[in-house]
Amino acid sequence: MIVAEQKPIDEIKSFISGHKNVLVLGCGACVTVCLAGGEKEVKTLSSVLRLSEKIEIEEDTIERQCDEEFYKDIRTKEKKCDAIISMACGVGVQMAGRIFTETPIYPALNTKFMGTNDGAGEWSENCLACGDCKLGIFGAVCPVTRCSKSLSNGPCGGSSDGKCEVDPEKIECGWQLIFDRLKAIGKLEVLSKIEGPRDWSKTHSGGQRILSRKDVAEL
Amino acid sequence: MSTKQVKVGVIICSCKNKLHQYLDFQSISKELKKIKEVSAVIECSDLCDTKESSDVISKIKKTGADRLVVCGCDKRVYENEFVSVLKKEKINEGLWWPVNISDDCARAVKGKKAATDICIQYISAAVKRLAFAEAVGSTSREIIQDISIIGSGISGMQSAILLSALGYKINMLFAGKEMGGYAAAHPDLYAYLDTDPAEASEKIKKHMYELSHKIKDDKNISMYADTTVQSVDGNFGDFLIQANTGEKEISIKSGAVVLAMGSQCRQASAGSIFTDEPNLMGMDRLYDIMSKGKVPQRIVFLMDQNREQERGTTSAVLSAALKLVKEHGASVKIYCNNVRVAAYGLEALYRRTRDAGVVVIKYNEKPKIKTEENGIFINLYDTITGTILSEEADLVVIADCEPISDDAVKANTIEGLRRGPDKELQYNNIWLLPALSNRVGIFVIGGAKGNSEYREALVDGLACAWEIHEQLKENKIQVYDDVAKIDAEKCALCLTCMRICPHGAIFIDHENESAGVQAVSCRKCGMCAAECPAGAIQLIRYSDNEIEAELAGPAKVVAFACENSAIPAGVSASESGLMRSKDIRLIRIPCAGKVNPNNVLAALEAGADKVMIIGCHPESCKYLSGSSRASRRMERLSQLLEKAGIDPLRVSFNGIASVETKRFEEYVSDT
Repeated sequence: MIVAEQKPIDEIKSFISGHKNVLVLGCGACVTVCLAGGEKEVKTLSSVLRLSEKIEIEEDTIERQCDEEFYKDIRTKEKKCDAIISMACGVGVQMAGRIFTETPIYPALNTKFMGTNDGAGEWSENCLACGDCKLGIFGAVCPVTRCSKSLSNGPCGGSSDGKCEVDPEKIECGWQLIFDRLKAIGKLEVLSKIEGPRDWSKTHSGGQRILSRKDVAEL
Repeated sequence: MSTKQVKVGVIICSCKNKLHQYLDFQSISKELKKIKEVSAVIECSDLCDTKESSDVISKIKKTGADRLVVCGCDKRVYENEFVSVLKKEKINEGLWWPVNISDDCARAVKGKKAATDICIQYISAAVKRLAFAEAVGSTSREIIQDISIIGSGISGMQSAILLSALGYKINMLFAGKEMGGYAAAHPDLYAYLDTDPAEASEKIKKHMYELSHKIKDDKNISMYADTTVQSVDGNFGDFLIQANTGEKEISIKSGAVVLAMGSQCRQASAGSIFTDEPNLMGMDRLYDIMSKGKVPQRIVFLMDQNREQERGTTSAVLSAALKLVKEHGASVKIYCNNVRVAAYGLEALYRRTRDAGVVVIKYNEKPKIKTEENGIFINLYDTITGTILSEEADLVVIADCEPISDDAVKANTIEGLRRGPDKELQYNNIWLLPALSNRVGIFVIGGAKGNSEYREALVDGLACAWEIHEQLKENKIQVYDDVAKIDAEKCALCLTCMRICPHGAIFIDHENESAGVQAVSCRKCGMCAAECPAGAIQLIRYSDNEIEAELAGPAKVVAFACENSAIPAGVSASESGLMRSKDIRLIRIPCAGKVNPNNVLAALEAGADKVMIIGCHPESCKYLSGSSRASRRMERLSQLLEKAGIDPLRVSFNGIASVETKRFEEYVSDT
């Protein structure tokens, strides 16, 4: 799931300085789940802005901001505001920009990563969309995100007691995790094979990546 | 919520005319009648008189009102009888709201005018609130009245015997072949029950024999020996236990489940440091050595290594130490953080043990164990000499008992059961005493909750039986729907509510693709509603609309007041003559955890200078984690406000106990 975090409030306020009527738009999908940009957070941000600025706020939340259709009922709101704060992830903010073409759109969040929800209020990064998933080789532990150096043939010499030398307090050695998992499933021999260099061109590089399914396309 | 015109009736009780000296009833009536929703304002002199309240209610009904604001003293005084009258007069019990005009108005401020103004504000707020009130319904549900007890020690056996006498069918499930638990296995460890340890041992053996034979002869009690519980699912009135008895798999349905499986003494187990050490062990291996007769000479007991122990550990250690000295001629030392002898006979045993030559050392810092080639050493930092005292032992016993391990009671073995922060099976919280767990219908007694002192464990068993009897005595229960309600359309299944519910009352409703609330387990604290990022959860009587409707007045200081602590503290304060600032308004909430930071912001936007949440002290929150949540939420909100250029001290969480009248006064007087 996409995990995002609210920007510091002073940064958000700096975006809208000078604006008088602002639409604060929330998103009911990922950012609701990671407690950053759903209906509740829209209320909180709007309230704090009203208390600290002379400003009119219109609040709304749509099911998702990454699909055009969800904006249908709120398109007219553009006329009544001179700025829009999107509380969606970076994807939603950009779609909002495509819909509301005549109004400045400002992001309320920093989109951080794709990750798991490890308990109430805890999230950790697991996937960076490399485009060439090899989780099946590494026992469902990702060497790209879980190894600080994204090694394909780890561990490096800095692995000690299952911790990474980059920050032994906080960071687990991804390759220790891979080793433990492969051992548990009886596939340690995988580590004897050299994994070739990764094709990084499949990861974000040189422009926007596109995906299409012709069999589903609207005719 | 509703766009149709609601009609609200107002009853104002003068408390046998006593309140006339404090409040101008005429003025109040006049002002209230100006509110368009108010269809009637009727004064009565004694709300506690059911005939009078009945008359007033029917008069109000004739004006077309279906909901009431009831102005009187603390609602706890009149509530029970009043609600019966409401039912008789066919007013729904979800459609009334109390205002304490005695303690919040009349006795709270000096001066009739000020008190009257405040009174009008409180009642007007209640009227606005009632516009959003929803009727409450209930369904009748049949429940299973059988009870399952897991564990067969003293507390479990005592509970079973009393429950059977009260007419219930009991299932006793235990791991061993014989009943009796720790006391039956080690009758020598209760030497405080008599000045002669042999006599003490006989007493235990005799009592164990009595209890187990009573149970064996009792047709109401089914015993399942050699049984391991695999899972406990379901809710109060309808639990399902799956277990293995020997080779067979069994399923047992129960209305309530009692956890009485004792604690676990640090025994040599896989992964423990003691596995292979011949001279470092837990109590279980010591008993083994003692029973074989060959005991080393210098023996050291260490208590309180991982956590503060309880009297049961002290009694076992002292009894064992005395036995080692008297029967085996050993030389024994005991290192502990505290001795703990608060049980009849335990102090005397302590003295006898020391008289026998056992040395007891109370430490400040935990001693360290060092195993070397030539022996095992205890190193203790002595705060007086500033040196490390090192002493060699032949055998070191870590005498600590731990809450039963995750292997025996896995986190997901008992659905929704939460251990405390220190892995204890019963949170260290006064509201749970004596026998409650965080889940409705699941009880914890005896050694399992860290209470293995012999007599106390028996009392636990008795108290638990009575508690269960209160809840299970009817074969049908009324399940009210004024619990947390989840709007499946809005729910994003983020699972936050499920994770934070302290009572394990929320589950994934796969059919509706949303979170769902188990009504019998919901204790209506509202923590879930306040945390939901999609605004999908509301609590009847405390919805955001209802709470925020009370903010309409010009209050300078708004205090969200928990009804378990702040409200009774406020009542006591007023009754004690302690006054409040005339600028403060209380808003009743079921728990500090119910308050959404957005409610606090709404109060600020409505014009309040300060907003506080006054709730139980976090370690004694009635709903376990509500106050802690409120405190954390206010800290986060403070920081957000500060960064936005708003004074962070305008919002706060303040802890209070219901008896702290002076503290209440400090919170609510002019500063």
